[in-house]
Amino acid sequence: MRLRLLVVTAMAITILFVQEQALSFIPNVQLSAMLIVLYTTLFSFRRVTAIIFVHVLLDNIYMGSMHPLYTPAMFIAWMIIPVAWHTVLRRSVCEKRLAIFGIVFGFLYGMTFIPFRMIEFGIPIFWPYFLADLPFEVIMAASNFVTIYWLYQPLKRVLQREMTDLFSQEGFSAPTTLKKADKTLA
Amino acid sequence: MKLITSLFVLIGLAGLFAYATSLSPYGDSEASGRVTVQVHDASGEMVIDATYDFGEDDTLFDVLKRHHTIDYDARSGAITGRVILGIDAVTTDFETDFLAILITGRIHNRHGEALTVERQFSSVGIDLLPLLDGNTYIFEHRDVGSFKAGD
Repeated sequence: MRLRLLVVTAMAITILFVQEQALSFIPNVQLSAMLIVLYTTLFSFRRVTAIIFVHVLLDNIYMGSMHPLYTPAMFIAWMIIPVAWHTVLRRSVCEKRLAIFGIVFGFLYGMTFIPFRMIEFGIPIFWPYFLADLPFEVIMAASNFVTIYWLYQPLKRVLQREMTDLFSQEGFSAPTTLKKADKTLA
Repeated sequence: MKLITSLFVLIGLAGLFAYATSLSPYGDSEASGRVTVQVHDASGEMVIDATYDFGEDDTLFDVLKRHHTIDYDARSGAITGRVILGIDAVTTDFETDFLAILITGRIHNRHGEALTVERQFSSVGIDLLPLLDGNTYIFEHRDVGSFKAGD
């Protein structure tokens, strides 16, 4: 069971990483937010934290952008999704609510980097950076909205069905298979 | 219904995108003027300190190309601009080191609202950076991952 869960986690990280690299030629257009929302609603908080940590690490190593300020900033920015889902979103699986959150997250993601930019380049960078980054935040917000609104439910259904098949031999049942498995093994 | 909702949201965000773009502090270049270009090598020594004239439709990329041997990467395309990799003997590979562009002078948006800046790190590439009369554009060789607090 542990091995199966580990393989599922590794596959989740791989899908997240590969799609991000495949879409990297279009700034801020990616499926990452939708996938992390999907993983958040399916996996435990601890597992999603691990997925995000490995993803940020892999992304920065591969892109050669490991930075003592921006790598932690990126981790914090992505962690907004699981933290918000477990708190303000009250573990909602409503695609509309999650899609609206996707819009908000597009802006929050970009703004998370501002304090770190200010540490590196001084306080006066706040306003120019905020204004220059705004169009990219809007692109990310639009991309998050469309992908979550259209792909979240179908992907969740497919993933749950596959997971049910995978774990059914072990006595776990849908629809909370992965969370149950996570909790049992914790 | 889902399609209509998506369309409405996307139209709203497209409008916000257009407005946000107009607020970007990297607006249009001035018709003509003079700018100073400074280049610092890996040791921090200033190896180029020159003033150049620019004309209508010139970008910083055009001005540098006229007076120096430059190396660049067009990977980022039209949205974030070309990436400058080298000016004369100061070269980088963008994997381990890069040229940071800093602006001293003014930056302004498309509404003409200007901000006075001092060693402001550029958020756009070399051919999207507007040329404003009297500005100084500083190119500093930096290692990837290095940072200068309070720069």
